[in-house]
Amino acid sequence: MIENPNTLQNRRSFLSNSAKGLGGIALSSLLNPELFGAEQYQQIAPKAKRVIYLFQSGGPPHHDLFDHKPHLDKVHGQEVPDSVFNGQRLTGMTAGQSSFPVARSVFKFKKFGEGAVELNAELLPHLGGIADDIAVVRSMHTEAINHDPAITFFQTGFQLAGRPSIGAWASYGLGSENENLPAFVSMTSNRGGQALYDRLWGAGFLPSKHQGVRFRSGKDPVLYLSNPDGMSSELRRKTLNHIGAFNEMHHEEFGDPETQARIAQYEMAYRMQSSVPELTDLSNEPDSTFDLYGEDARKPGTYAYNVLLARKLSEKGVRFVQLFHRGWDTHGNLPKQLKARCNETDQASAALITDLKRRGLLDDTLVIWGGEFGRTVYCQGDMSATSYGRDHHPRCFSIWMAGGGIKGGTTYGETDDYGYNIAKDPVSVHDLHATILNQMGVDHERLTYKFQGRRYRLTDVHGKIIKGVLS
Amino acid sequence: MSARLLITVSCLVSTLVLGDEVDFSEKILPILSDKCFHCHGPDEADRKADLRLDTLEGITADLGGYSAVVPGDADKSELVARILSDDSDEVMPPPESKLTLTQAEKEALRNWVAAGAEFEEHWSFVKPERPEVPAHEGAGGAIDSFIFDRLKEEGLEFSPEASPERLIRRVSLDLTGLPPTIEDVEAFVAAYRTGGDAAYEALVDRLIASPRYGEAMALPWLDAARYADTDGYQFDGPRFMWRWRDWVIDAYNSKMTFDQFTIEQLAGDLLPNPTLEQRIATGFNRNHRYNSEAGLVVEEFLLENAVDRVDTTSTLWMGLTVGCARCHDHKYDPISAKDYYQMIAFFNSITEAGRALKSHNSEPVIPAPTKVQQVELAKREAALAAAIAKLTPGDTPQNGGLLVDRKLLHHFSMKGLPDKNATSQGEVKFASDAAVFDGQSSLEFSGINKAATMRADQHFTLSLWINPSQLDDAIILSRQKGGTTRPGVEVAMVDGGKVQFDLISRWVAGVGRVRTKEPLKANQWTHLTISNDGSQSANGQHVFINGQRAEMVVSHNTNSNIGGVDEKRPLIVGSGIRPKSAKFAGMIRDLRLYDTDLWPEEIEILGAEYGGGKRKTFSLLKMTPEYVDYVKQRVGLETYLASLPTVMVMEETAQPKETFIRNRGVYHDYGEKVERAALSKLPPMEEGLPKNRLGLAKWLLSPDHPLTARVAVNRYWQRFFGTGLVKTAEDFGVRGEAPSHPELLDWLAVEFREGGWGVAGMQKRIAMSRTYRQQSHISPEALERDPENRLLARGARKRLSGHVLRDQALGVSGLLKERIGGPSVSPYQPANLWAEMSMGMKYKQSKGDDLYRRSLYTIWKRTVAPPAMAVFDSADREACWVKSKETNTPLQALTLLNEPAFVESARHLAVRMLEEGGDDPIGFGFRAVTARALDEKERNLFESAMVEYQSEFAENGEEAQKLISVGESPPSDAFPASEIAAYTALANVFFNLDEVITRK
Repeated sequence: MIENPNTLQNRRSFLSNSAKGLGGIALSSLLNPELFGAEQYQQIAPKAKRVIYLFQSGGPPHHDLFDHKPHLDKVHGQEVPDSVFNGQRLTGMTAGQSSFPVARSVFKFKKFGEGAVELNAELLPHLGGIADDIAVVRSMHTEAINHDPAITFFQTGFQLAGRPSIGAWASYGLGSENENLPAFVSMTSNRGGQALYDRLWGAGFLPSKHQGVRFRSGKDPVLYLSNPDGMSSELRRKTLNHIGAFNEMHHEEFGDPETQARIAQYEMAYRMQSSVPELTDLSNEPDSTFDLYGEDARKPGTYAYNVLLARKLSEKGVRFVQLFHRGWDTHGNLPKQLKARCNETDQASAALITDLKRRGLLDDTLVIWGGEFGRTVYCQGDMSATSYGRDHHPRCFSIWMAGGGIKGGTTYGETDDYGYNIAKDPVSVHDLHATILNQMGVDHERLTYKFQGRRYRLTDVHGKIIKGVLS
Repeated sequence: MSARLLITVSCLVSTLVLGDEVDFSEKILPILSDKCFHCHGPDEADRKADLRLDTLEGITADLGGYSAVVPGDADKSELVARILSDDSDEVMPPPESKLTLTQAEKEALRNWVAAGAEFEEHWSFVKPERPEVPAHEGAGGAIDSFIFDRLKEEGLEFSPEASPERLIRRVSLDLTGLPPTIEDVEAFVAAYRTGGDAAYEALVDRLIASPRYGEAMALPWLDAARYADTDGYQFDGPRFMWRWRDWVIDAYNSKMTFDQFTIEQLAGDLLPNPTLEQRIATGFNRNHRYNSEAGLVVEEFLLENAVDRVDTTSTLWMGLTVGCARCHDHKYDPISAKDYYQMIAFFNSITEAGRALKSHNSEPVIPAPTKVQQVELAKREAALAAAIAKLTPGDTPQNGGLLVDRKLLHHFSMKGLPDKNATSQGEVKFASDAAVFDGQSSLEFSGINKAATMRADQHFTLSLWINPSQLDDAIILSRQKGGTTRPGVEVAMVDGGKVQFDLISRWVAGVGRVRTKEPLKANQWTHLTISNDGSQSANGQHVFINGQRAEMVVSHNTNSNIGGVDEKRPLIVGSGIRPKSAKFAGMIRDLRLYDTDLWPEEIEILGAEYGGGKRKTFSLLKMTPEYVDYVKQRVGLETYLASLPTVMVMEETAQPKETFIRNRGVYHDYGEKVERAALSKLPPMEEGLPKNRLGLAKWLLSPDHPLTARVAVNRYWQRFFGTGLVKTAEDFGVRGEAPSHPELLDWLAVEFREGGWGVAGMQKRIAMSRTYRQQSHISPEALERDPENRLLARGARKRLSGHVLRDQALGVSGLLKERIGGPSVSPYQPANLWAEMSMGMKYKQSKGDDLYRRSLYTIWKRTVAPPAMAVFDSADREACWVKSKETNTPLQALTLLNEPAFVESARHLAVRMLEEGGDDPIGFGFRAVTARALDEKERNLFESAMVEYQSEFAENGEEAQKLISVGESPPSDAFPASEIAAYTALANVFFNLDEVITRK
């Protein structure tokens, strides 16, 4: 069993390669040493070669998007019964509220497609159009009630900082499929909201190379990608040749395999200088792309732009693309805020599925859409006929998944009449993680890393595959 | 093929480390702990089949006619039968565990049972004894003798000593984090030629005496102590702990011994009459992350704070991963959940709120003036004392006026409805110079001065005379914003007339609520003052009854935000906006609002009887010039105090808090109550040691403690060799890696402790060793034989850290501004990096010298770490980190090639090459970055490179000008731009050479 494909075998395999000269193939195996580990972990036939995770930070309200509760019309404005609360802890923001009136959703719902997936018909029309490609899970639950612990839990399997993110585990376990791009990329859209943290795409205790490379909008999609002002690409090439030549001499003297590895990393850096701008340049995309994703996709930094970029990255073999879109933290005036968020996301999210499908990529690309928790059925703050707010709610909420072996047109799990407790088929965050890894061909119980004397897993000691959403 | 290769390599490594002997602790215990303890180990609750394999009693226990192990009889031992079984229902470990034993492991276990199943204590729990130093002719000191002893066993030899040039670069980088200057190198090379060892020793002594030494040593300690400039959760707001960082640098530079270093950081506040510096030292245990999120549950984060302190302390002093015992007994090490919470009990009785302030240091906090500021403070205090001594009441009383009127914003006499800004709700009568409320009525005063924000960070005082006609719950006065969050102030009678003072930033997540212990009296005039000291702490909200500070109970203390009201909000007297609240019945007069928290003596006057002696004396005093001067001095001192840096410290609550085991580690799931105690597996705390952090610190340092000295010297070793003698510097438990040289580790540990815990002395010993001074060339055979260099038949190579890489570039370019200590600085950072992620928190780049300070002063935002450091595997400062990580990625290349500080350094080095390099600028630059001269091949390479660069820029003046203008320092005009640009390109190459990035 390999627990830690450390640099040892890489150095050694490199040495045997370097004796034969640095061919492109040898180089790529050096850059992606985990290809070596892949044989060890990929023990299940993989359904998904890659993952695009569209994280919606802040906690999208399930009552208003995916989990229609007609019962709320009857009890609107009434106190949530104690039998529903059932001892649930509330956040420090509403624990002191003197009243907990039920707030129904103001939005109309409709059943879409052959699978009759019920969605908010006013705000999610595009998603409705591809409803037969997605599986909505209505019975997600989490342990955390505040943003930071909750989002950290979702991305790393643990509420506190220090553990590797899902993408880092994937990079560690499976490596990259592209020698010019990192295995794991993260992107944040440019609208504000709850804070994000390096740790959400961090490597934790795994070797740092597994941390997600953040792609940003602007001149340097990757930090320090551009040459300094005054240094042309040609001159950079020359300097790299000189660095490489010196390092070769140095290697001859010292025999340190890390020197050879460094030479290769400098070459990859150079290739990234051209491959990354090529990829992020959407000027050659046909208009039909923007018809599909929306005009927003022309503007770097928007959600739609990032989703389109995610498709391009996936197509090039980036193993794990992690997007973050913020602003779902609808404590007050929910209908207005929710409309704005859905305007930003609905079309592009649906377009991604359509686009992947057209390109024949949907079958082996797993797409996940969801936030860190749901929202309360009771109103937080002021309630009027058209406006209300909802506090954080960890006990149940909805996400959707598509592609990569997911059964489309599915609705999985049930909540009670109040959308407050799970009634059937609960799905934990660990279960979701186990399922993501499973679809990638990895047994979540075997993907381990020894640290502090313990074998760590993404799923800790938990995790059951959500069989009901698999095709 | 690759899998086979791996097995060969790992076998090679284990043979190297383990040797051939069958040794329980090195060979058997690792198998048992790795494959068996999860179900058959110390964790009682989770133990399967009631069988434990981590004790002799356990393995030999009668299981009903048979035993897991019958020593000496493998065939009768159930353990052997089970591990060899082919039956999936029988075999151990069971298939569902996804663990398997290799053939070699099975054989080892079987042989061990057959040989008598000797069981011994895990090595690190046994107190180290000083081993005899092996005698080897000419091996050098003790370190070298131990290393050489092992090398000989393996048939290996030491490598020759590194060249003096490489040696001085290596030891300078290790001891000061900066490369030597060309002059340093020349002086040393000359001295070494004649003086040999003595010259090297003089070099080591000089480096250790340098102030740069303290900065270099502080850096790994900042990583270990999770030092940062922000709180780490959500908004990740600023905090100010740099005075603690100064303390660490100073401790190393003043050669503080490790025992003092330990005691002051863990328990400086508990020493008799602690000095300011000793209190600052305790900031160590406040460096953990701290949450200010609105929705948090205080109880949960009080536990998380204590958990972080215990985990960090245990890792740094004991190398134990006690955190595993938070939720259940440790799976591998003999640490029970009870042990864990007994440790928690040392660290949870702190006067902390449980919710951090969003933008400031969170209590307990002390002012932490620097040495210079301390002098100024003493001067001001003396001046104030002198001013007080001069105070005498004069002859002329103040006539009329309001007596106490310092920073008075509003005075409402309440003798009648005063002016256009006042309205009454219901019927308010005026009688006996007071307003009379009937329980249905109230008064509203608008036009309140905008200085009165009622924010949690505002200093303010409200004072009034009150005469309630009954003591039922009612609001006395309030000034708040509407809505459900009600920011502002409310003063009410509750619980039979007790005065409740609410300062709300956001109901109910952010509230300071205090309440008097004694009630008001009905139908009697009482003077009531409430004041807030602006600290955002409920402990700074005071109530005074008749001029005397009342005893208070704090029930809410969560004002992370500051809240506040706008100018439009009226001051409501007799009522408020809280839902379901009652209005006041009774009389109120002489209501005042001040824009400061008045001094107690002023409040005493306000609460004194009208026409009484106190008021008269004050009215005489107040008019004197001496009093005016006193006020000026005192206000000046207060302003100065408010400008001083502060630091978060440890401070015990009056009574230790009760501590309970938390079932499954969950904060509100209480188990058994526990008392403070040392880990039960280790020697007990000596009688006479106090049961507090001071006692705990002394226990860690006691001669019987098996771990502290070993763990500390191992970290020093790691600093010089990249890897510790125990590779798992963070884990000395049964699952940690056994030491490569156990006798050497013990010898160093005993030497360290018995020699008086001298850190610099220990480091000098290591740096002086022949082992350290070897050259680091690797032959293919050596690489094959010992790829990780655990045997140390050659010198260690390490890639420099991100901090050191930047400091090196700044250093050799002449840009580095060497100034010890002070607040963090904000060098170049890509635009919007913080703002994109952190709820609008913006990065304010420094100007001037602060762009060029050493990297340990760079501001560290935990959730968005400085990118040029993070990319080089720096610790993330979210939690304690003691291991060195080293990866090699393209992002590192991009950073060194293109990051502005490196490019700016390159252009300054270019100018130095041209100015100081004489007829060999290339050779000069190369010597500056590598400490050595170019050989011929290298010279040819760089000279021809230079020709290419020069031709590039000769044709392109505009580009040249751009390149030599990167960064904020002005471009040099001493040479043609194209010339500087060409040399800049070469210097940029230099900073990216493997030889420069690593220390060999």
